[in-house]
Amino acid sequence: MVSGKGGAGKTTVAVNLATLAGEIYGGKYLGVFLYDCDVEEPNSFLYTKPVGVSEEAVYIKIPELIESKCDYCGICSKKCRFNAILVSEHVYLIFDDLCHGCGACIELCPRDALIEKKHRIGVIKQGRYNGISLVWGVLEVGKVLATPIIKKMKERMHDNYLYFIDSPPGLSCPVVEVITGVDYIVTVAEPTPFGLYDFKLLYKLLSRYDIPFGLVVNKYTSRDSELEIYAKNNSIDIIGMIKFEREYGIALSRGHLLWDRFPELRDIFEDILRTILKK
Amino acid sequence: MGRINKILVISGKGGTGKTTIAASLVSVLKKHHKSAITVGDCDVDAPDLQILLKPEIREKKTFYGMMMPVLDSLRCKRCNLCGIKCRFGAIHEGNIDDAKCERCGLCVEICPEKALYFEKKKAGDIYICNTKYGGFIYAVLTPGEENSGKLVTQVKQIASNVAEQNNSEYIIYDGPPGIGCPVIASLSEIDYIIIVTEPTVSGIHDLGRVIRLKDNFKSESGIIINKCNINLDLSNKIEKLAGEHNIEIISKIPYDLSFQKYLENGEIISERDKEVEAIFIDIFDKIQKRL
Repeated sequence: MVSGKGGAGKTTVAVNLATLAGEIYGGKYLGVFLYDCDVEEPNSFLYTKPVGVSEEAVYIKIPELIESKCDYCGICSKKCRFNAILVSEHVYLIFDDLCHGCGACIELCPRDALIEKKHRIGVIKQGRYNGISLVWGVLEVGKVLATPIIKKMKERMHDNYLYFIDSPPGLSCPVVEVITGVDYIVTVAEPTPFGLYDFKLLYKLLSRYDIPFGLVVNKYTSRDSELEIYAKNNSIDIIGMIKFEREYGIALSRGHLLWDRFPELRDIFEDILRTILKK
Repeated sequence: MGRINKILVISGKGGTGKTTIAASLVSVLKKHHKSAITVGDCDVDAPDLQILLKPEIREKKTFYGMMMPVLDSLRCKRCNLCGIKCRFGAIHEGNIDDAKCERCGLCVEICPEKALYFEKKKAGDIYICNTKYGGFIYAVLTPGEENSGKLVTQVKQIASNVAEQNNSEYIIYDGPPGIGCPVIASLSEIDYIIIVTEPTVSGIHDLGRVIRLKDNFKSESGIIINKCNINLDLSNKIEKLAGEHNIEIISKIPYDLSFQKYLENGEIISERDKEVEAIFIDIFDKIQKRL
């Protein structure tokens, strides 16, 4: 589930599709998973309240200085493209949180004065809810690198399982990491000028990939919005339309699922599931 | 030349109302305080403020992200030292996978044949504009690119320059969602941080993380509870959380269906609704007391 714009309803759609799929198809697939890759602000667990939660730390490899070998030549600092090393006179500082773990400094140090050490950037948690497994990544506050956590999460995926992946907002590298290798993309957008503008940017990104996708128009107040017209003009499948209803907002505010409370939404989510699985 | 006060709007959770709130604040500042202001949009992935401010573009600048490695295939001997050393699986025998490349430059440095070199790559556009509210700078990162933090820094730098040239008293920045590097880049050198939250389980959870992030910075801050009437219990919970962290609640804005109509028409809510206008006059008074 991707959207570009924040608050469009990615998590709402992901959580409802995954839990409904768990209910309907739980037997057919070895496992139904909900992967929350919005590691900066994961929310899926709030709606599913998973049990049996286990945790795995995620590390990147950052440099550590062996002071006795260092002659403060500063090559590491000059070559570091992330400004993560500061060398001057007899001052040597590594800014752990800026380091991208590329290893260039370690590789290029003429004195072999740098070695690797593990640097924790977050965790991956896993739990179960009503027949589905929930996996979510949590980036430590203040750390900048979301992508290594997402990569680690995707390494856990196997064939023959069904994965619903909630993506972060935005259109930059964490989202690219999420999209890479998926079989179908559900785009979620609101039919407002903001939703349309951001959807066009998202469409630009998706056209670089050969992955089929469809659009869920969320929180609509009237039909035939510019968003719908744009989708039709570009032959984009509209796979679902969810009305703006105060009741839905209130239920979500409380952390409730929607399909088990609102029968009309169960029908809509079931339709979306059928469309996706057909593709 | 007076001091320029820099105000940033962030939220953690996306969709809480940063952009609509930033726009109403800009409008009210201009109308009621007759302040000279400059506005910047730090949400470079999916900028939306320009939809409400309706700018006239004066200048367009190219944003170059980090330098990309490029192969001179005539020099490449296919030794694959680059592929062996690359920690991101982004290169094999000189062939680069753009999506995986982190632009660290290690392959360029270690190639024994000097077959790889750095090249500038366009990663976005920066727009320097005029609006009826003041100077406005926004940028669009090329979808899929990295370096949103670097682009945010450039937007802020240009906004600072424009603000100085125009003798602005305030710069209002609309921030990006999340807590990652573009947000961290937005947070530097800010005088007042407005945190917009909503009374939902997601909103509260994300608020906790944003508060922890902003505590690393020496800025004043205040919380706006947007759409406060969707869940009064959680609205109260937010007030408690704010109290525990010593952060002032500077406003509680109720949601009304009419707002959706204004947004769909690309209109700034404080300009269409008198009650909302009064709310923002009050918000600014509270901010001003802390500046």
